[in-house]
Amino acid sequence: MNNILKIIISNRTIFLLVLMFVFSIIATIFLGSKFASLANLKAVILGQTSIAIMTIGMMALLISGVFDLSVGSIFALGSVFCGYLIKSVGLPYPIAMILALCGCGLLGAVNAFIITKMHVNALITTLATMGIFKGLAIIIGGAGIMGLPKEFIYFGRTDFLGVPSPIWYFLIILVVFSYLFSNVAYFRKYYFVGGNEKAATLSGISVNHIRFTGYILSGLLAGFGGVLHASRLGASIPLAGSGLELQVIAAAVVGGASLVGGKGTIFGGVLGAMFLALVFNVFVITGVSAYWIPVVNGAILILAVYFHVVFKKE
Amino acid sequence: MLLEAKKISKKFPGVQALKDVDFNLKAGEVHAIIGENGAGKSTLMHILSGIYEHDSGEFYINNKLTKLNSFQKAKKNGISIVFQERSLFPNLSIEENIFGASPPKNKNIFFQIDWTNLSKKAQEYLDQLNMTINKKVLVGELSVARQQMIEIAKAISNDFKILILDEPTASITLQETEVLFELINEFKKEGRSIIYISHRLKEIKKIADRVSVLKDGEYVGTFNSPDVDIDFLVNKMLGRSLENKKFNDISSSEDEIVLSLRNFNGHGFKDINLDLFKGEILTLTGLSGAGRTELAYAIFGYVPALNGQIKIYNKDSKINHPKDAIANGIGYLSENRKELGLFIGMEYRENIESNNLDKFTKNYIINWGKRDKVSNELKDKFDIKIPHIQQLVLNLSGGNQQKVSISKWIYANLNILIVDEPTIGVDVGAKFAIYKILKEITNNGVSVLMISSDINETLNISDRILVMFDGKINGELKSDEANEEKILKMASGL
Repeated sequence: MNNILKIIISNRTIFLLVLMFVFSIIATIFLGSKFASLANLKAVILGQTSIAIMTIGMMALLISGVFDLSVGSIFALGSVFCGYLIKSVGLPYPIAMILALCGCGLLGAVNAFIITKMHVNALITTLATMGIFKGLAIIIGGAGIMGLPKEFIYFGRTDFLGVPSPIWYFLIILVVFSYLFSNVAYFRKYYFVGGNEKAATLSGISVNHIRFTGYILSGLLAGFGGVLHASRLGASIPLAGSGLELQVIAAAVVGGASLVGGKGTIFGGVLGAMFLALVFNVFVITGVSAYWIPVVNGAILILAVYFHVVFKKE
Repeated sequence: MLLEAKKISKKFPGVQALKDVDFNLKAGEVHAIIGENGAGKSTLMHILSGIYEHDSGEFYINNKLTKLNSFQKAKKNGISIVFQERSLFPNLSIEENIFGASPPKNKNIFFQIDWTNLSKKAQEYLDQLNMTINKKVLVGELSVARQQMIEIAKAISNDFKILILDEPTASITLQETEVLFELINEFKKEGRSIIYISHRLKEIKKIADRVSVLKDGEYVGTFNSPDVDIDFLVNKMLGRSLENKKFNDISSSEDEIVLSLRNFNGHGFKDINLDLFKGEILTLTGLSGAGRTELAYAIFGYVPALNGQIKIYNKDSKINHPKDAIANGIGYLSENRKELGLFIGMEYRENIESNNLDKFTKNYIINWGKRDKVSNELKDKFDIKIPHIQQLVLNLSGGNQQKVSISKWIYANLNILIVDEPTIGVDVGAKFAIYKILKEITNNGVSVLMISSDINETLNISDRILVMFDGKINGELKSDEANEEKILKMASGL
């Protein structure tokens, strides 16, 4: 019994699965079918796809020992770029989407450039670009770009085999990135850079290279989250990304990332995101105000780090 | 006697740092203390200045029994120290640093710093040191040499009777050394005393009145400086000459140069010309701060050289990053295994993986089975004592950690291996195992450039020895002509 407990505590993925299972049972006892239904499960996952996709990018960065506060703003710019290119420039929507994603990848590269070449620390850099990108999103998108075409909306609203398309996109990204980070040599280097940057350099790993690809991936995935959001809504809302960085970082940390780097898995980060989604789902069902979400989110982030510290001691 | 220390002993966990050491100091004399690394010089100074507490023994100042059990107390008794490790605040100005935590206070308003007075007094100390410098400048912006001078200004700002200088000239220029020596002579005339620690025996002959020698924490003797020569002091420092157990199978061939440096300059070293032959162990020895590790960093591309030529297998090469060095067949085992060598929070097998990813990879995909198999083989081959290959490196002993470091570079199978203090902090058993490994790879044609401060190690396993001093190569010795005295002389700049 003691051994089982040890395994559960020492492996974040198993710990989260058990936690989510216990949480679901308790929620089912109190809320019944309002919680425990296939429709609700679908809604929970669907509502969290953008966050989960962004968490994958954040996880990659956290594994390599850095983070990105500007993801919420890149999310907004991704959405606005796409809407602007479709609505004002008149590009066909697949091209607009690809260009928007390229733009977001470029924003990630800008972050990486400032951090690695100009040697500005990652916290300050991404705090600053969080403001800059958000401002740009509002400048381009104004109060919002409405009335996006039906074909574009179809991208985020269609179903396949009874499962909404965003869930499919999310699952594909999850599988690809999980594979990359657990079996492909290049992405393995993220763990070494996060584990000890100097030792990684002396092992012949180019830390700057890892930083660039990390921030570009994070930018791309945040941008995709934004594009998906615009597609489901049929509109690009510049303010939609505000505060997402807190949710994304909380999800990654709950999922086993450490702020000093070298730890965590992509799948763990996604589980972290889904655990948060379950908690907020209960809020919605019980009618607690949505204003409580950031409060609980912040509290969970602190608790997750605190537990990490406590377990480490033991 | 101004100061008398009787039977001072100090034990650190596992080490007897000082054992019944006697020491006395006359008013108005410069008294040098010499000894090898780890002889206990710095420990004794730390005790004298109240930073460490001694286990037993007594201090007499002006023939009165005195307790020196805190820094403040030592200061009150007129003892001032210039630390070997810089104790300055880089974020504060020169004048603030000179007074440290006790700036002059305004008499009328409580707790207020008297900035005018502080500025005026600071200028006086800087004038004494002949320094023309803007005293508002932050210390962090100064060169290491200038910082050392500020450190001295800080020490003399305390109205001292005894000034302890621990390797004061290690980083300052010749001109600054002259200024310092003039100042020391002035202090002498005023009847103030200096305790002077240095590896530079020439300097000691020049400035010291008496010399005390420590060896392995024990007091060897005190000599009048004019009566003895440098060879005598070197002999006293080393004690009996240790027997050299040589690994005598010289395997190098002097016809194939694998690495050659010409006019190689960089941070911490200059004008380096060096040839490394196939299959030899070439040792760079010298005192700490002689620029050996900096040279290794430059060859390996960690801190690239400023200029000069590097040829690998007779081909001009450009090395701007360790990955270039590795691509050219060079590996580097760091002296600092915890910070630079290993991923201590990660598993043993992951450490083996860190610089060998490409060897475990086919078509971009990692072959985990191969990694684990290799990790197990290396563990057996190098006798690394761990229960399983998932063991975190964090919990291993120093010797085992060092073996992990070495095995990951041995497996990388490179032509040139730079090993920086390969046996630092490892026990005797592991030491010999490491020597055997190094000899084995050189027999297989690998060339080893070793950096070592351990004189026995240097004598026992090198084919050739280069001695560095002050960033330059000061001499070369073949293994059969080398001995401790020659090396120590060269390392002291003679």
